[in-house]
Amino acid sequence: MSAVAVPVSKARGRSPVLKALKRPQVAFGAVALAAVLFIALAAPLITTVGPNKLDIIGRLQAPSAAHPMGTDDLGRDVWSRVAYGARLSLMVGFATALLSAILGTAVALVAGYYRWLDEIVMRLLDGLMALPGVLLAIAIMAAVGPRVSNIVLALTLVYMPRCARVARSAVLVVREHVYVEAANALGAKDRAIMWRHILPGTMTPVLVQATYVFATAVLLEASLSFLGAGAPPEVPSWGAMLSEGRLHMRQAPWMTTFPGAVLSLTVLAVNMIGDGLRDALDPRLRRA
Amino acid sequence: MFAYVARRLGSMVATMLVVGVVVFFVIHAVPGDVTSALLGQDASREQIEALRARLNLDQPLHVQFVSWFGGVVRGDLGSSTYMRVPVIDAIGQRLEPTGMLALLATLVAVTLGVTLGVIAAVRHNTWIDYAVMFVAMLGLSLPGFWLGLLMILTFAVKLRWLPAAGYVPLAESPIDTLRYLVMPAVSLGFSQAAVIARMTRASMLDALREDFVRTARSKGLPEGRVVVRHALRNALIPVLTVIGLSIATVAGGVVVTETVFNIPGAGRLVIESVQRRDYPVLQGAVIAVAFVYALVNLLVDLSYLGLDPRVRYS
Repeated sequence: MSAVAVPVSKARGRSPVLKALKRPQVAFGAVALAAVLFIALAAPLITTVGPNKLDIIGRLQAPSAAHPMGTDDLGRDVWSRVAYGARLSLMVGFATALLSAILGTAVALVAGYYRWLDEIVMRLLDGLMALPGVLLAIAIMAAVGPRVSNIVLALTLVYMPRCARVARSAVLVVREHVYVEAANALGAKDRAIMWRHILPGTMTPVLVQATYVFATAVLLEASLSFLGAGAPPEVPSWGAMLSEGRLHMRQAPWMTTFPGAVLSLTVLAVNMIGDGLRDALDPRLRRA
Repeated sequence: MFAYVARRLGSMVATMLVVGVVVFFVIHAVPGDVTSALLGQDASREQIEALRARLNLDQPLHVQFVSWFGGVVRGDLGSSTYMRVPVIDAIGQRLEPTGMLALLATLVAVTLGVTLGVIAAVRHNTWIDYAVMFVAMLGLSLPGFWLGLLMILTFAVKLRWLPAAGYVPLAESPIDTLRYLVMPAVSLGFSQAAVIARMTRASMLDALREDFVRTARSKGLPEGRVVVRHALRNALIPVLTVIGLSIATVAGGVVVTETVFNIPGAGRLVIESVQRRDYPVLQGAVIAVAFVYALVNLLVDLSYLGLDPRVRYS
């Protein structure tokens, strides 16, 4: 992500990403997110049982030394499922944020630069955004089936228009600058103008937006899996765990509390980083 | 002013057309065939052909779209392939719990959000401000359905104050309706309260720095009047925009909340129709939500006319 901010940092001398990290909330967010990332990557090393290992005799056990977060209704280790579930959440969040940002920026560049296209593209995006994200994602998942790559596809369709909107408003500002006019007058090709002169100006707001997309995509994946319209059953997912936990809330509240707490912590961490980045990268957006 | 209203209506129609196209073509990409879901595996070829003809599935996709969307425009959403009733009726029967839930959740979101946002702005950079902003951050980050589950655990399972799940129609007992909807409405509205609080605070901070606020203070108006009549009124436009957006989120969120609390509403109907491959109901429900959302946004835009006279003349 720091590579994306390079053009901005050159202009100001000091890396705003580093500056953002000095804020306590960003530091907290970064540490918490790093912890979740560690759990996801090191899942096979820090768990003793596989996430899908059934143990019918040891079902619905309260947290203990052997099972720090207890076991679920099929005797699976909740801690192990939480750890492997982190892989899905982070992967889906990151992939959705990256794809939405890239596609959204591309759409905005083309639409914002060629004004005749603008109206058509924006109406299309408005139409996509007039559907609540959950509903659009459910409809897409019903169409394409429960696969992890399909979740990313559905969430990208939900969030790409939001990134495009943000990028477009940046394009509209940048394209009025004198240097764009100058490049035009010097006979630069459209593609070169978009790539060299307009694109860098859209980076900062899109980066901030992408962080929020990351956070909400993690939440939306959990909601979809909670509804049974997300991850396939063999992939551990925090949302699906919560839906199983709901049925056993009286006997086994740990099935609900632990996955939900880690999910909340992850989203909180990303949101805090997003707020800090926004304040550090774009002083105009700051609300002192 | 007339031009403004006409332009807004025009863009609403355009948006609804796009929504119709998106919804129809996404849902018709569904791989499984509805006929096998309805007739079972061992239906004869003739039976399948007859059913496909009855459901218009033998027509090319764009013909199906035109006939479906033509119906939608006239208020006819088609018939449920599973329940054999008009989609309008299928949704209508499930609308009361969903409408009540969405209404109460929006009420929670707006009252809590605006109040907290104003308080945070007035007490800017004090511990009250930080506390409100922290709660708002939690609201943005905690998944509503997990919050709902925690509330069930606390208030229904442990304390036994409120019913854990279900719904009682208004006609039977309005008090019970409310008792059943308190937790769902709070769990659904909390995240939107957070969004509204952040926007209200930011917008109020801008408004409180304006010259007219200084003027109002210097002519000796009581602070409460300055905050509400002068600052808040001017801060309201961006807040209203956010409220319009949050109504869309609430309308989508009912699907999840109704699942958490076992509420037999239209949101559950969406999930059930996915499982039954009942496309007409799924399409109808999605298009209905989009319509409500477009309508709300139209009302929000028109309310600017009342709030800000400049909009009237531009």
